[in-house]
Amino acid sequence: MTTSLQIMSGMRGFGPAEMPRAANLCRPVPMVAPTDTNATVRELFDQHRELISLPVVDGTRALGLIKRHTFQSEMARPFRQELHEHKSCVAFMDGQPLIIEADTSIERAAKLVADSRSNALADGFLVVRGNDFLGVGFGLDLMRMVADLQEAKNRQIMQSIDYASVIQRAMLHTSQELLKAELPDSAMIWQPRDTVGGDFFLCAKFDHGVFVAMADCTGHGVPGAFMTLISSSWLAQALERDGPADPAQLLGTLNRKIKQSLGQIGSRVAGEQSDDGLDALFMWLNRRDRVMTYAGARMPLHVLHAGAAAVTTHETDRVGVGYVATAVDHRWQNRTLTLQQNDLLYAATDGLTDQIGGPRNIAFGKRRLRDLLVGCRDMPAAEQAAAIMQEHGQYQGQHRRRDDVSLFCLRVQ
Amino acid sequence: MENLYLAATADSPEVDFRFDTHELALKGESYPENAAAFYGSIIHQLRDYLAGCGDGTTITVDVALIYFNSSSTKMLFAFFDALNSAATRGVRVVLNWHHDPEDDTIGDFGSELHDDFTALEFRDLPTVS
Repeated sequence: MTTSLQIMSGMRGFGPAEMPRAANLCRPVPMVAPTDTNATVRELFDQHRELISLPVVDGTRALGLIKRHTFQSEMARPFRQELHEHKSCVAFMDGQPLIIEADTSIERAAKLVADSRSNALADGFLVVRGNDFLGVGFGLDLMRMVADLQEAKNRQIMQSIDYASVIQRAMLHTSQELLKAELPDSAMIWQPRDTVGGDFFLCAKFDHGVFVAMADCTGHGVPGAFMTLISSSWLAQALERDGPADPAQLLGTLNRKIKQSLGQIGSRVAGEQSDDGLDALFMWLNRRDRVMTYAGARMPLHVLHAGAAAVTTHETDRVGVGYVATAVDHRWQNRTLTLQQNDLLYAATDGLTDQIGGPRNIAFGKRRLRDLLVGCRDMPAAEQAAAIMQEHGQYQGQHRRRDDVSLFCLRVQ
Repeated sequence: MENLYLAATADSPEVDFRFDTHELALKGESYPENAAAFYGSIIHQLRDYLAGCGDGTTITVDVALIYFNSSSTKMLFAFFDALNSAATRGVRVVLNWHHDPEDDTIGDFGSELHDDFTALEFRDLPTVS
């Protein structure tokens, strides 16, 4: 008995730099020629219990696939065995199995297998290079490879974002240290929703006081983080050039710079134009004169004066910084506040107040924040911030975090 | 023109625009990754519809959103702006602003809309869900 039984080369591993292809799916399987009989096929299926399908190859050309279950059910019918045993094995062959070219990407191969009408996921498929038969691929191997590939991609993206977070935190670290040194009874909470985020703060020390900025850039995650890098470097430059005494002017400068650097001036094709910007609160704490000058773009300042029964919320200008709809020469408004010892100042991004949760599935809200602030007014600022975040976490409960959250607390000395 | 219906997802609202009966509704939450992409075609279709509405048409808009992020807010402004423009040229637009009575965030946003889009007939509807 002659059989053209051959064992195909085994599945080749692939390195990280090499994208796996359909060729990598070829399993070492026996194969038969059209001159082989059904008896040979039966023997092969008996010998190789795990074998799902057997390719029929004429020279180097693949003719089709004999599927175990089809073959066995056909041969089990009365007289079939006697009739067909010594005839060519093409009798029960699927002559139109799914054929995949060796260089096809794994993603594409998975799509072809999923869409195939020949049940290629269960029965396997032929892998060819041009007209030459290369091997047989199976659904399970393909799924495993797709899953590995997906996992490798996710891991790569997450590692990349983790490292981006190292950079973003390093950028905030300087300000955090400065706050600790200059305003010891203060706290800055920065919680990005997705490892990196669109909120940022910036603190800088000057002869007569400290400048504190809190900002919430459009978006969160990676696009948000891009915006924080652009914005905070423009702000740092403007501060260095113009000083901290006119926060409204700083907002105006940042507005212009963002619009210029993102090309948000003039007309562009709709949809391609970036329309990004930020909400912000810039505070200049002049310690010499005990006055704070502040300006804000859609971010309120909450103040709990020493001895006052309730928190006062000072709304700021309702115009965002940098957006297409904001005029390039828009002027924000400075406001001033006389500072007295033990006054408490708070700023928060809308991620804090807008978080959904609680028994009624509604936003945390400013009212809840204000009540909470009154409740913990006697604690040091760091403890207040921790208490607020704990309450916020409880309120959020099982709900998804909706946005990045930042909170600044300061007790005036 | 054809009505527009989009089912709600975890981060996008239910959109139910019945242009044939002049009833438009937005319901749920809005914080899609790309708000401009989500709202782009919705606002486009709204504008087409409004262009065909003459004087004497009454459009009822029901909005029951519990959360929207800043990028969605900008798109919502574009949405209300389109309605407001139609209202200034004679279309009657009733805006039913639904929210939980304890939800000051959504309540305040409604007041801002009321101030900004004066041609809309704004109805504040604090209702317990």
